[in-house]
Amino acid sequence: MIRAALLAALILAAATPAGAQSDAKLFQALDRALPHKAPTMGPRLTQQQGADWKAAVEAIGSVAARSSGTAVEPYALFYLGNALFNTDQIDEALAVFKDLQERFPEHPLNSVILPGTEKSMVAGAVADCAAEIAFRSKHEIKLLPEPELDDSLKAVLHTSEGDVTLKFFENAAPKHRENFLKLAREGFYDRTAVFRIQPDVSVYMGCPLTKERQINQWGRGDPGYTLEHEISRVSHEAGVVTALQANRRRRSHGSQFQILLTDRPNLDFLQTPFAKVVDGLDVMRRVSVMQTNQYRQPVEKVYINGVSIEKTGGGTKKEGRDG
Amino acid sequence: MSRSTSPSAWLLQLIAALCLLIGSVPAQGTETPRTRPEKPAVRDEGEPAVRPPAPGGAQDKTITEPEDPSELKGTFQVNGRTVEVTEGRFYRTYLLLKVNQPRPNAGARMEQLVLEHLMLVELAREMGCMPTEAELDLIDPLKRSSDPSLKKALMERYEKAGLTPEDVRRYAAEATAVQRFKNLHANSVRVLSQDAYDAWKRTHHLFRIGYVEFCASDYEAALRKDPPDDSTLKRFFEDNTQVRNKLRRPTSLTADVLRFDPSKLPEEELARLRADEVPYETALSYFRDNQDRLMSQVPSDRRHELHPPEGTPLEDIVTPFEVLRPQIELEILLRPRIQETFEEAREAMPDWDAEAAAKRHGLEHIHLQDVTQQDVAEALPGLGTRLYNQMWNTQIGSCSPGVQYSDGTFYFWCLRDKQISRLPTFKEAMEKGLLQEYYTWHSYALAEKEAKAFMKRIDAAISSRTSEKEKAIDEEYEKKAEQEIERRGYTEQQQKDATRARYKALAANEKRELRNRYRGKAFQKALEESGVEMKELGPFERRTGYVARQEIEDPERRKRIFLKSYYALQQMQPGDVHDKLLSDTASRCHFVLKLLDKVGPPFEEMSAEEFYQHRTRLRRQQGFSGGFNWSYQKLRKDLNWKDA
Repeated sequence: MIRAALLAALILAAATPAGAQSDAKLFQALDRALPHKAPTMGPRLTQQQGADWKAAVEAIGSVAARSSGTAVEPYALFYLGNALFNTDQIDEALAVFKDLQERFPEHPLNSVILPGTEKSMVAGAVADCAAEIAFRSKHEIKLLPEPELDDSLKAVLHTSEGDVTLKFFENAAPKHRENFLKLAREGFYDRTAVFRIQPDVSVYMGCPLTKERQINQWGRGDPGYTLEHEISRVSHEAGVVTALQANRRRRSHGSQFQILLTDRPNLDFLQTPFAKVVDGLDVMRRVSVMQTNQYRQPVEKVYINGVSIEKTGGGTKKEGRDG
Repeated sequence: MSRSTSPSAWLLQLIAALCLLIGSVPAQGTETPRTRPEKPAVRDEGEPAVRPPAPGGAQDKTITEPEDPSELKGTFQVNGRTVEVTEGRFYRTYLLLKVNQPRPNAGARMEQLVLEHLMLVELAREMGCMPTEAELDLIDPLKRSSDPSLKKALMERYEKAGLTPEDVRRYAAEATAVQRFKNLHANSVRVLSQDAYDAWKRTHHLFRIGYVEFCASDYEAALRKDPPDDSTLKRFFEDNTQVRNKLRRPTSLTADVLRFDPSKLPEEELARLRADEVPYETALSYFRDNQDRLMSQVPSDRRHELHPPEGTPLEDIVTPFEVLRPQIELEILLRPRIQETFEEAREAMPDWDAEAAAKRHGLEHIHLQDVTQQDVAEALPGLGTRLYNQMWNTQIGSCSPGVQYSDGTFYFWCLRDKQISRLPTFKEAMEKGLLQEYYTWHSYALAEKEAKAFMKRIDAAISSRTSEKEKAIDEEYEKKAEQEIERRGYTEQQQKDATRARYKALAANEKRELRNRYRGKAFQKALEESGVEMKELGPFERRTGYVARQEIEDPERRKRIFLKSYYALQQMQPGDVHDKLLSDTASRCHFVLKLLDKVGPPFEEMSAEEFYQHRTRLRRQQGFSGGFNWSYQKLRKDLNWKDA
């Protein structure tokens, strides 16, 4: 039966025109490569997450390359142009849109003017590219660097539930990073406890009052200062460690932070992310679903027994306090 | 896209089908492959395919099968092409959406969603988003699924709703097309650097303003030269409830507090006291009786001892009692000193001499004479508010229920007198500064009067140019109101009044805009006529955030902060004169404001972080609001929907 089915499939594949089937698969591949999927039914009120346009350029570009000569190609090129625009490759985006205009002048993307607009979608895109290039010719655009993790340094939180390893962003939030390292080296976080949890959302730590007994005071302690916000391209996604917002606007808490277990782009520009969990996120996830009291603190206290700072490169060198 | 198939292709397909047929016949002696047991139908017979809307819930208009499916329901336009929607098509689409889509948002009418879907499908078709047959073969659930029981369940669901396999395919095609159409827009959000710059500029404009001020301080000097007599003051006092309340005699009390802080004892005395042993049982009993209070007083440098790390030997573990024992013993030894004094006071009140008693027993004495709650909080920080309330709730001539302990000190108090709040008499008000209040009020009122007179000049100058036009506007909107009343056939007075009021408001808006166009010149004219000087301020960036201006000593600074933080500056354009009088009670001035200049700072002053922040925000906002571009209301308007 299986051999017969395989044979049938091979014969069928030979019989079916390759174009029709590959168009279908290419459209599906293109749909999968898109960073945003609009809701089908009504204008649903959902906040758009941050899109990874860099990954989109690669994914859509791959589909565009494969779709040459097919019905998918114009759409793939249109999406590619937009993705290039959003990754600040404006000249490349303009080239793609112009190519689309020249090679597919009758395509609806070029010929249809939708109600409420004055230009076709591609014409609008070309105009935007031209405007952006003109603007950039007059003004220097200072772009923030793409955040990268510093592999030469890591901090390990030795909690009573397990170890959590953090790496810091090399080119984002340097003051927050230095502040965290300083407090860790001084033993500030030692014997502090997790003071709030949200199941599968986040775990809050870093309050010095958790060393005291009065649990209704947990979450109100600080080292006596706050830090200025440091805006970067780091988005609040799962695994990111972010400083909590202080009571004052545009200031971060001096010591309290939360570890995110889910994407929370609504925190962008409100809190400063400065590190990422590279190992042990499952520990935090387990902690986040513990039983809580009326203050949303774990009934069974979860302590940071210590924080060790490890430098790698030229041999691993541990410093700071060990758990 | 069309598929071309040659005769040879057909032949190959036939051979493939024969292979499958031959392959499916079981060889002799082999078992037939196991098939999954037939799953029961999704729903029982008679149960509707979709739950009907809850009664009184989301108001779905009841959509019923049309008698004549070919009857026209309505038309709309797409790119110059007229699309007709028949009742039959509408109804079948309604059935499809009911079966396939999740329950619509609360309040959304199903009819609107159906029409929205039909219009979006045509737009998607226009943009070439309809899937081909080959694509549909991959999407169509009846073709895609290899599980016969699943297909059967799906078909039963559709059949119960009166739909066919062609409808399943049609829905798959339309849903895909609409999704693709919307994706085109969701993924073509482009935020220009100019947009980010404009968004940033809006909160960083540099303003330069001109203003005319009328300050109370300018009039106070003149008032002081001619002070009021007593009868004038009395009349002012009697007529002005605000002033009387301001000078009100607050709630107050008189009491004596005696306090003892053991930490202030000399070392020799402490050492002598510590020589007396306190038995273990006594100390333990005292600890138990006062455990909650004592636990909060564990010295901070010893708290960590109460949380020993894992593996600490038993002999190194300390208990709270052990940590607190020195303090417990001190309390037990020292308490009698103040306790004796307290007993004495209770016996002797109201004739008790607190000062003498304090001297005799080496205690601190605090006499509170006619003090308010605020005074007590300042005199005795840490126990102020609680203490005041405790005292207030005691009878005059009584003392506290016992010796109290707080923040390392022992204390007790005895209440001598208490007075409830009342309005002052004229004599008391005079003593409290009624005359100054008179000058304050009247100077502010005079300043306001002058400011309003200046505004009147401006208004008069405007009216001389616009009165005819304003009259014409009023007449025009009155006429429109009456026309609407007639067109809608309103008979109820309430409906007529509401319509007239609406048009009156529209007329008021238009008149305001007209007047504002002439306000700048009228302001200039008023300046020349009145001889008042216009001052300038700026350039400055508008301030946000609260500032307690009453606490600022410098009156000029207070004025500047007020003007710089005025919210309406953002909406004004250069040359605009604000049509309202600005009154500031902190600086006691009234202002008439003109915007001279509004300049956006250069792009180079925008930091990389701000650029990134604004651009990301705009991307998210456009992506979020883009979803509303395809709402029913907008589609209906843009595509010119017309009911048949």
